[in-house]
Amino acid sequence: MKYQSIMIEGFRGITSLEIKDLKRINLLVGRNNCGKTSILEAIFLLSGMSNPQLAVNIHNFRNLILTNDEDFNYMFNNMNFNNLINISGHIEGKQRKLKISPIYETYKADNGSQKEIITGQNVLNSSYVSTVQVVEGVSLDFTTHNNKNFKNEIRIKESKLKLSSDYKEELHCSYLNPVTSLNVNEKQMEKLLVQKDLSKIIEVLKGVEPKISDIRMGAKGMVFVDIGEDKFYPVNIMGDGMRRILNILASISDMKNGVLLIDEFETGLHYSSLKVAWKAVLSACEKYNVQIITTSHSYECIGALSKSYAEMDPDGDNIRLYRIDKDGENHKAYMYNSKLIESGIKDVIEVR
Amino acid sequence: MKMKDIIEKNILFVEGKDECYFFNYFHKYLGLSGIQVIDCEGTGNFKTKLQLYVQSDAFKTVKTVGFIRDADSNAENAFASLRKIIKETSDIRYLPVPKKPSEIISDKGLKLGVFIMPNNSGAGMLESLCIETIKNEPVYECVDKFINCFTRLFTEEEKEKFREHKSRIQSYLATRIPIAKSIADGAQKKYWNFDHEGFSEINKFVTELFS
Repeated sequence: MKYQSIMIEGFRGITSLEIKDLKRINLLVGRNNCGKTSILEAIFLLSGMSNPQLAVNIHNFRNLILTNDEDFNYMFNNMNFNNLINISGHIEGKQRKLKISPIYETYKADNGSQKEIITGQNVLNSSYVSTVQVVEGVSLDFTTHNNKNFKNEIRIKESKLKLSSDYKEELHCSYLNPVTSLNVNEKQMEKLLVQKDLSKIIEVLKGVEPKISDIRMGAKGMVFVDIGEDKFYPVNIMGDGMRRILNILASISDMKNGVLLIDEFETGLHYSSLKVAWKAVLSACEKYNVQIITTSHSYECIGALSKSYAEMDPDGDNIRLYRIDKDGENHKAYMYNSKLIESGIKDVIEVR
Repeated sequence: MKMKDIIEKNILFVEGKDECYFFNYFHKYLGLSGIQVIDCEGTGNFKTKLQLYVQSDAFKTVKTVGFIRDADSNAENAFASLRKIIKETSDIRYLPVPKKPSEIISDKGLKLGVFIMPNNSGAGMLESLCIETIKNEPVYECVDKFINCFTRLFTEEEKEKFREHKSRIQSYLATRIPIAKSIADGAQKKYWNFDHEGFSEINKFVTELFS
């Protein structure tokens, strides 16, 4: 399953943005603060639309801890709850839509029970209507191509999630951010080892650490690597590059037929390792039928993707680069197909 | 690594390296500045180059876009081909689309024009234009004789492939002291009289577009 297009309205700094013709590998580039990470977050919310907890998680990825329901305004354009969030996308011709809106406090008594009717002289003391609306959470209204509507809610103050029990999510999606994606996920790693892809993974990791000859899972789920010393080393004490590649490959095998979102692909990777990393990612995505949508600031990263892809599939057109930019009030995704990226890289023309 | 990017508000797309150098000397001779001449590396690459530059972040600062390409065998076809590319690219980022060569149109803060060498009609190229400006020089008779002499020895296949205008320019440049290696080198060495009537159309186009 893969996204063909994405439409985002009113989410974080994005008033409106459409991304068309998404392919297997999609690289989002652009200036700082142009909204690349917000796009990944929006796609993550859309992919997991039946899980309202994600509305909190996406803030944790940014080290933003939501402490009350008003903090949900971080998601809304101009931090204004009146700008409702609409995110939609097409997956294999079928549309899924998510609308996020605030839940306002309903009229109730201080003790939570219904108030008594006010009569007589006391009416004079209550003859006003408050215009301050208190937000008690957010509502996530979503629908898929079959047009059935579902509704979830999340309320921080009340510590409550209200879920649609009759919706079954079929899309697998995972989000790797620059910080958490350096921690190797043991469960995913175990899955990867079970797939008998070990020799290929070791070959890829040799591009980062030439001395590596073996990977083993310890009894407590820890991952160890053999780098030719007299004992195995826990992978967590190895460099960022090795952990990053391992984590990306493990996530791809875990997301079979799904979508993997990666914020800042090149994090932890030296430019000389990028080509070997992309080659491994391209083959893994082909094998597990995974779509990748990732961000980057690095010209080397774009070049490594383009060159790896051209070597593996010279006539193919399964990679895209989108330069995200502001076009007046709205955002715009300038699209580069495989050949255009290749030409830009060959002629050293700025595409970021 | 030095990246190629848009650095001026005025852009002139030309079809080759020689044209790139030539028009750099040409516009400076006309007293114009702030024009970035971009080599599209052949007419077949106009579309790719235009799309790459038009989609770049720096393009938002651009005020004027010019295109100069050779007519080759037919100016009408050359213009139609370039117009189609401009129109298609305009779907990505707005560009005004001219209806005929040399027409300069301004819309939504962007000025755009297309010139087909040598003079927006018939066949030819930049070299044809330069030949117009030197054909009355005494030395050109020698060039004529030289070309007529060696082309008599050509086979049919060689006649087919022979690029007469380019050959005439090379021969003429070989008579200069010091010798110029290319049409652009000739421009740098001031062997082309940019005030000649032959350059008046292109002179008018570049001046009107970028002034």
